[in-house]
Amino acid sequence: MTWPRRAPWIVAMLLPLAGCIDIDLPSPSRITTPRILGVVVEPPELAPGVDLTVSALVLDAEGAPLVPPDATYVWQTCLDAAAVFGAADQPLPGQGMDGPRCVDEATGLIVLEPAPDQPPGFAVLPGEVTQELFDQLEALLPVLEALDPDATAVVRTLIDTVGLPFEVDLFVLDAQGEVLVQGFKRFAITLRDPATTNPPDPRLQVADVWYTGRGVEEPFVCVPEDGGGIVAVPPGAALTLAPDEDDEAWLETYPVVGLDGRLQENQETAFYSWFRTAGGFREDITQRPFREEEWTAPAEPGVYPLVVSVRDGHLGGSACRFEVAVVE
Amino acid sequence: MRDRGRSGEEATPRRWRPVGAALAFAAALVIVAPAEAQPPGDASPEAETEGPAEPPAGADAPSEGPATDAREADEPQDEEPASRPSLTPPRLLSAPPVTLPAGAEPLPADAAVELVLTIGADGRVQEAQVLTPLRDDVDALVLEATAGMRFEPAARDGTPIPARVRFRYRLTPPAPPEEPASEEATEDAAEGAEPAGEGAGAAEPGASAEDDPVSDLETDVPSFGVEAVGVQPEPGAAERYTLEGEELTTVPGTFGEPLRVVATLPGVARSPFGLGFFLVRGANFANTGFFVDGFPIPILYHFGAGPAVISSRLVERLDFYPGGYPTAYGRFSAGIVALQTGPPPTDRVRGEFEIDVFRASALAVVPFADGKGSISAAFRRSYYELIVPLFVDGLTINYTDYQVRADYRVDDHVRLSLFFFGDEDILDQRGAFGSGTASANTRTNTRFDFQRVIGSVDIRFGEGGRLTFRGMVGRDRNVFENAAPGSDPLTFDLANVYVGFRADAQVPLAEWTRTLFGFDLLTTIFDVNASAFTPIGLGEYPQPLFTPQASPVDRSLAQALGAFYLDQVFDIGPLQISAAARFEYMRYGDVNRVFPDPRLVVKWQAVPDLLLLKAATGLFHQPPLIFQLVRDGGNPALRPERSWQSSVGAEIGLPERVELQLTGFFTRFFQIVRQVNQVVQTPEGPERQFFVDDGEGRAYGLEVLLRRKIERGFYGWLSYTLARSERVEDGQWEAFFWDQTHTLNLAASYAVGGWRFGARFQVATGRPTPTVVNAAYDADADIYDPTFRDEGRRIPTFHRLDVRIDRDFDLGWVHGSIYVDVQNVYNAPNNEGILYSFDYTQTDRLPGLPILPTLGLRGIFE
Repeated sequence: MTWPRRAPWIVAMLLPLAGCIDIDLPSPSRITTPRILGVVVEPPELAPGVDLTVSALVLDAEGAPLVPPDATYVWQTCLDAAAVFGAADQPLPGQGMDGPRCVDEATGLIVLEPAPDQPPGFAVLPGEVTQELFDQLEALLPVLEALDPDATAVVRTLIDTVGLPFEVDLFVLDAQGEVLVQGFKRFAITLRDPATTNPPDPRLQVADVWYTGRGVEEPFVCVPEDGGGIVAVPPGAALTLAPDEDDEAWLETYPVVGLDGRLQENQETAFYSWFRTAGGFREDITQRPFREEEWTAPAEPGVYPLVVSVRDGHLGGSACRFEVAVVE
Repeated sequence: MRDRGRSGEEATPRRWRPVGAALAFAAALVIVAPAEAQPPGDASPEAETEGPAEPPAGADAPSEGPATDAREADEPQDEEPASRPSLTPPRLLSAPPVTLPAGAEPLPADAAVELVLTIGADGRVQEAQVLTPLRDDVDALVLEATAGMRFEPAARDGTPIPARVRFRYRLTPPAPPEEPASEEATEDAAEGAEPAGEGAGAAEPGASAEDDPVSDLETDVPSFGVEAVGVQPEPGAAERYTLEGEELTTVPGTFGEPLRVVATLPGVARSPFGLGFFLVRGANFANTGFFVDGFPIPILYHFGAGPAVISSRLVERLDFYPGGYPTAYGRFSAGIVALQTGPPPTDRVRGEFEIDVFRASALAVVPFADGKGSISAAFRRSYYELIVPLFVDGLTINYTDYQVRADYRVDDHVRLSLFFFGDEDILDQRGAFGSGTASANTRTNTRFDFQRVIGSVDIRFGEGGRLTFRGMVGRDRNVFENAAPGSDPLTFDLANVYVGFRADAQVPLAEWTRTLFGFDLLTTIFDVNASAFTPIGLGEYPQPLFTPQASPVDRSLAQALGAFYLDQVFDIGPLQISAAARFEYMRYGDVNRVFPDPRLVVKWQAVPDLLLLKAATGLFHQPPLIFQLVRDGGNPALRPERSWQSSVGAEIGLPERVELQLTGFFTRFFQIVRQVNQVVQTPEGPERQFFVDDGEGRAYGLEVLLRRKIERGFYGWLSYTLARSERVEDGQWEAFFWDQTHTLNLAASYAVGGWRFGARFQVATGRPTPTVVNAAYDADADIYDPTFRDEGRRIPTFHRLDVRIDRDFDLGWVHGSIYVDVQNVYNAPNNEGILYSFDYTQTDRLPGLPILPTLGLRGIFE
């Protein structure tokens, strides 16, 4: 079914006409159930034959990390030809980039292995497998060419320039093997050099303390840079969370196919998604020039986890969980 | 539906009576007959009086009258209760003169206007309708004169009661132009005013269609309000619903906007939030066109469930074709809403105003050249901006429309008109849903304005011949802007210039055949200036916020459309065959060819004036929307959308002025433009495409219209549409996004003693909505990506009741009415959609319009 994809747009267009709308739906920034809050693929764009490492920040309903062995991470991918070619032309129509993900063996499922020498939950897609995916794609080009002689040239052009999108799926299972949460993350295979990269681990200022995830052994964790204690605020206090402005030097440019069919350079943009288990946020997502977030501390004292997930808008990302104390 | 003439009524067999009573259930639901309601047939031989509410079963107005007409005498009187000797008919005491302006067209001998008057117990005329018109200007004068008539009221047992009479206002022709005869004519007119029936046999119409060179009576269409009079060539129309008359301003739920009545007609599915676009016979919004005097306009209704963009006082007639529209029109693959404009009554200088909670309007008419010409001007402005901020922050809606019109009657055969009209609509929203700095700095602005000038020359010749030339120039501008923090501002600025010309001819060749033909040219220059985002997919990936980087687009496109149409109509006894074709030349983008649209309509009057069977089939082409053709991001090779429309139906005349129309339809849609996201190789290099024209669809269903024509202050109708609309999705037929299985409208209004009470009830099946079976977290976009499954689920059934009460007033210097119109009177919590939580585990409803009352005042200065 394809028409539901348009439904959100239509609903969005109609929303202003609804006038006074009293919508009572939970905020996406509030963690009340197990959630995937960030997925990192390293590198986000790669050439065939290059290793791909995947990792994720997953929290339980209380905001505690949900990692092996308490949970099992299952990573898998496949060659979703309809999705890949749908982005280039129409021989395998109707799917675009939102095609079916790798849900059964019929799609040529590839289950990723745990990454050696990496924390639990990390997995790797070896270079020989990324090459195999690319080879499978190449093998389909004659089929594509039979349907549309020009399509092969288009696909090759895209591989050489903007890249072709693939997806890796994540299933987090509980002790009984039931799926707690699931998600997916895109990566691109391209022959372009240089490809874009991930942003570094987050660095942000909480009140007057700098938190960072760089150099921290535990993945997806930010701690005070000076090695001191976490920030403490009174109940109900407003706390400013400010990503490091200068840190956006990692933003890159990347090629896209413009409206006229020609290549053009676009600039990455930094997005900051914020999550909490308690208290309130002014925004769910911030971006420059209003990248700062404001967290209102809850009334109950305690140590509260907060999460920032950073994205560059072009496959790259990083994330960390940090803590703030609320004291009387 | 074909209006039943007198001969039809007397031919109504008695067996129709119980059937008629049963089928008139819609009227029975809402009629509250006064306690003193006169039994049917209580007619006086002196004046054609009848009871104030209840019509005789199986009979139309003529049968209610005295047996002065031999055909009326055939009406079986033995069914009616015996006349009551105590009943006294009303008697005319005085009537104001009707002054024909000097230089007015000569009147034929024995000129008269036949009226139906509702006379109150106080002897004043509460309501007047033209039963047998004479001429527009004269009819208007006579109708105005009825307000000043005084009667000795009807009485039962000596007690005055309201009554309804058929009244013949006889006019003496004015003296020849060289004689100053106005006073004499006035005097004669006053003397000539007498109730019909006082002169036996005087009930024959004074002027037939053939006598009048400017009114070729055509009665085979259903109308709402006063009788339908066709004044345009009407080649090959399968169905047509015509809206006319002041009564339409009293339809509940329209806030006094008659043109919104279209939404209650068969074949029209419900539009969300009362949008001014129609979903007709399973087609999409853009497939039904709006025409003014034969030329398309982009919108017919203002934003915010507003009124039409043209004052209803300048609309002579609205024709709605749900499908199978005549070859005089084209370029839309579903239905047509066609306005024919005209001046308001022009006998004297007059001003009108209307004011309600949402808007105010004014209209002025100034006649000149002794009534041969007139100039009219109208202006309307909403003031939502004073109200909406009280309820919704940052939302601004307002609209303005204006019209200036000049009409001049050269002689009996030639009329000229020049009509200028324009519109501006603004929808400005600051702030997004949610809160915070970024949301507060989001702004969406949509502006729309257009102007048109239409000049018209209307020539009548011979016996029923007619030739009309019309020219049009116009411009549109449509601006959409979106600005959000961190994102390039997006703009879409489309400026169009139009030049159109059309000629329509009707040539009667013989009694049994006539030819309708014409040509229709429309040239448009589109100037697209946009800063548009590059859709994701080719190097771009989903992002947490919609912050696309814009690409400039600056293009001019030309579109030339020319059509020749020919319709040969054969009237062979009870059979009418309309064999027609429209040859549409389209030149735009990479398309340059002629598209033939053959059409055939067959009507068979199986039982004279009682049963009409009809069938129609034909092809229709519609060029793509202009933004789909822009070479940067569009596809200039898109072919026009095509539909093959077919219908069969029956029109059945029933007693009690009730009509029943049944229509089954089937439409196939081809070459529907659908959205894609792809790169194609062209000789000039790679091009990106977002539209292809390989979509297909189909729609089929049944339409029912049960209508009780206006009489004695009451009108009402029930329309029901059973429909299924589907589109091919991934090789499968699936329900169309806007598919609605059942749509039912029940509307009724009743006037008594200067009051009018009305109600409208609407029920419509909710549109399809998929079931969410799963949702996975998209780590790039920071949203959940749902997996839908079509399980036949729909949003809940929509239902709504609107009520309206009008009260007339007359202060001498101004008269008019004050009204209360309440939409959704019981505040039904209707859904317009389903809203999901971020992870699709919870839902909430997208609420429809709540109870919405308005208080309005309408006045006329004369």
